[in-house]
Amino acid sequence: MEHSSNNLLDVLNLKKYFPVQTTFFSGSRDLVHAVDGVSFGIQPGETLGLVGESGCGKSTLARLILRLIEPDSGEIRFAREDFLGKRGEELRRLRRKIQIVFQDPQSSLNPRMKAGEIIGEPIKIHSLAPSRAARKEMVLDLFRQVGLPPDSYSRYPHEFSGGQRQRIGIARALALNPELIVADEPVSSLDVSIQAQILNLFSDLKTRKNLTYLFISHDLRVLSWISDRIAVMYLGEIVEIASTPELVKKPLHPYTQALFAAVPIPDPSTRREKILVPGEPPSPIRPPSGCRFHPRCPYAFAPCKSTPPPLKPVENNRLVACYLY
Amino acid sequence: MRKLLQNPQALAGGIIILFLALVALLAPYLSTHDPGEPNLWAILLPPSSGHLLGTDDLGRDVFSRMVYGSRISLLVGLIAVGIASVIGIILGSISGFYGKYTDSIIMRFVDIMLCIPTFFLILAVIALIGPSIFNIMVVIGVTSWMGVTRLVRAEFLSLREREFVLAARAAGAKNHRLIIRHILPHALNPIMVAFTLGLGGAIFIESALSFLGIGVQPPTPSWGNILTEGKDNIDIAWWLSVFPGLAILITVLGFYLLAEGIRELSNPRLKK
Amino acid sequence: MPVLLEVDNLQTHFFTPEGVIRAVDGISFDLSAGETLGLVGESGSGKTVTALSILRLVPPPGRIVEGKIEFAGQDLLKLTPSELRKIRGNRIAMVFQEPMSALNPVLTVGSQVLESVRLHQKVSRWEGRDKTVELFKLVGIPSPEIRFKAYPHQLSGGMRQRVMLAMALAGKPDLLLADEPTTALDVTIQAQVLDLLDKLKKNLGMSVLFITHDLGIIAEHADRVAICYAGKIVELAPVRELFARPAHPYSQGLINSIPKMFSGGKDLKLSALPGTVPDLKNLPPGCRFEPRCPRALPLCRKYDSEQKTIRPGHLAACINPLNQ
Repeated sequence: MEHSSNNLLDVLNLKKYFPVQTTFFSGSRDLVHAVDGVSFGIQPGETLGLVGESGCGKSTLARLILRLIEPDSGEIRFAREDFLGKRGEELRRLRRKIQIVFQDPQSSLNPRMKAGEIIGEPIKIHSLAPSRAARKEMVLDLFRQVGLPPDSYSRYPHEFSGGQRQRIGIARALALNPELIVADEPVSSLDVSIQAQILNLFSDLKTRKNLTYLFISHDLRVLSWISDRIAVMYLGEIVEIASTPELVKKPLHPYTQALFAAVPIPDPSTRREKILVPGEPPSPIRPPSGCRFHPRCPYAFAPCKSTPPPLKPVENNRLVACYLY
Repeated sequence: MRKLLQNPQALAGGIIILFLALVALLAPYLSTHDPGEPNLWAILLPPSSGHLLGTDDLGRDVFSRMVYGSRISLLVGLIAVGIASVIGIILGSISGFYGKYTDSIIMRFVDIMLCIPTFFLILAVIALIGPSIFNIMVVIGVTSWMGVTRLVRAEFLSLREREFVLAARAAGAKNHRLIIRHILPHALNPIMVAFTLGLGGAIFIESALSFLGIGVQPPTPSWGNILTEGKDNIDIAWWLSVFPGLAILITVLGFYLLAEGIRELSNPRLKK
Repeated sequence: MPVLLEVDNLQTHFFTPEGVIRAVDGISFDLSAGETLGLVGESGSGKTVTALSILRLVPPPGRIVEGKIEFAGQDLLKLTPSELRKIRGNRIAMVFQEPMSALNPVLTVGSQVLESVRLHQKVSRWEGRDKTVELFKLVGIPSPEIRFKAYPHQLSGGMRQRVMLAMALAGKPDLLLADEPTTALDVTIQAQVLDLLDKLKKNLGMSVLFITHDLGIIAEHADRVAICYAGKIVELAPVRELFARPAHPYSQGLINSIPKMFSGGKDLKLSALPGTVPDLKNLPPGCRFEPRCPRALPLCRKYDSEQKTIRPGHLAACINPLNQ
């Protein structure tokens, strides 16, 4: 995972702690350990799925990778360039190559701008079109690519359905011809039948435009369909990374197992006795010592309580942070 | 806009203000006498068909003076609140958008300003630089921007974290673009409410200053100084005090109603 | 099993200035004692309004315009308000998707549950307190005596939903209306709450009307399913039957649009239904699903199919059903 890697994106030991609002006079400051030493790489053309429950830090991670917030420490390398060290024009140039699609298309589209303006804005900011007419042409082409009718150009976001709004969000991300798209729960707010349409669109675009995805979701059904590899996050840390077929066939980390066991399977003929993990995720302000999953883990033993297990390779290139392996 | 007309409060306020604006605009045509011309044969006449609202102790026509006075009141209000709004929007935007130390410094400055009793500050400054319409407008303006600043800052704080702003940032938009194109338009409604409320307040302050004799100086008529002149004769000429008082009251009420109306419309919880 | 609830041709419309929204437009189903019926549909399919109609809690400008809701032999739509109050919370209880908005933020959760206990059972404060703690134990709230004094914001989403369940169970209801009770929860917590619901149902002999958009939950927890689309039930069948041999093209479309986890078919396209749900103010004249239907016939544009029996216990409203 060092500089010699041919990864498109490398994240190394990334950390972000948020101070909890404290009063002026209180001396001690509580910190939310949102992202706490996360490392992974994404190869060009790959889809890496990131799964985790609310508050595990997956959205913070997405925002860190786009530099919408600045990390406390760690490295982000994009195409072997140090992304965090970039300032000014250089930053803007590199930013074009990483774009984001948000969860809620309702709040991620400026309600006072027309669809055409929203998608045309990145083109305008980076002066990618020689003229106004050329820009419009580019926007109409993007409409076609994401399956929006051309008359969408002068309509406002509220005039579209949820699925169409998410198509606008995707078109905006595509406008700068990015190499990496970070999709932060892009289908969670959509109805099932629309969700399938948008997932297909993501998959089509990927092959057509040779894109790389970091696809974030809480839904393992969605991730196991779209991802090549899946990383599992718990309380600010990655506990397991493996290729999708292997992870689905044989989840190693007890938390991954718990996640899979909890997914409702739409097939009544396979009704199974579920092994459920007890308890709830602890507060990210004071995460448990040692392995953060140990208070809920059915297999926890002495070392789990004291020293955090490192994310280390086991069989076939998969990584897991657990003393069982 | 159509919704604004359907709101009874906004409609009532709007009609009052429209009426006032027309009066101010058409003052030369509406006035029946020269507002500055004394008439020794018509001192302290009660309202009649010759003098609609009576005359004052110099025999000047109160109606005509009030019609011209509306110009001063509205002008002072508009310019003063305009100055306050510009200062407030700029400081509030900077404070809310950049946050951190910039925010702390600006907000502490606001707190300090709010600690000073504004009216006495205005009194002191006017006493120092001398009363003139221009001075009054500027002084009211630079002492009443704190509310707008706080308001704009609060709006910016919540708006800058909104996903469409983040999306524009990810697309490479520079700060001025984020502020002007993406954030400010969404803060306009509350700014309009503050602006409208501020107008009523500024007109009130101007009247109070004129009443105390350090506002608009005679012979230029303003509602405040008509009221002052009236107070000496309040026992024998009620019309000198009542009509300018009513005018101030109705104007402030009009702006208040309009502001309430805009506020109601911009509150999503009250929308269906 | 005796029939506990029978809904017949229920129509609940919303009269807005922009037009009449036919949120529920002729829904019929029945529910036996001890049974779990899943009511599945996407947003705007009328599933929540159906539940609210059963309790006669439809918010204005909505109104039940037609239909019959028979619960244990009495027509709920004909009851007086005081008779209705005896049924609400007592014999029919409801839990909502977002427990935070259903709980009073300034009262402790214990006192709120205690209130509903004392509303439904004639007990003293002290007895009621014990009963509340018992209810907390029943719904799996750890250290119930301490949680009794907690305020809603001090509890996690999962715990709040358990409190809502405790409150719903206070009146020992025969029927529980569960409106997306786990949608706001994380998967591992969702699994815990679903497991709890199953146990409670079995131990207390309740019937459950389970409203959800997630066919996976239905497959694992319901006995029968009703699929809603644009204010109508398009298919009603036992769970296994529905997944094995769906008759309505919409049901099949829904089932197929869920990514299958264990198929491993990576490059396969998800079979997505094209288009979006119709505008409820402006419904197509024939079958509501016709514009999106892959099996639509010319006839479907003119005539809306009545529900007909495909197999015993399996109803579908389709002229051209699958798997016949």
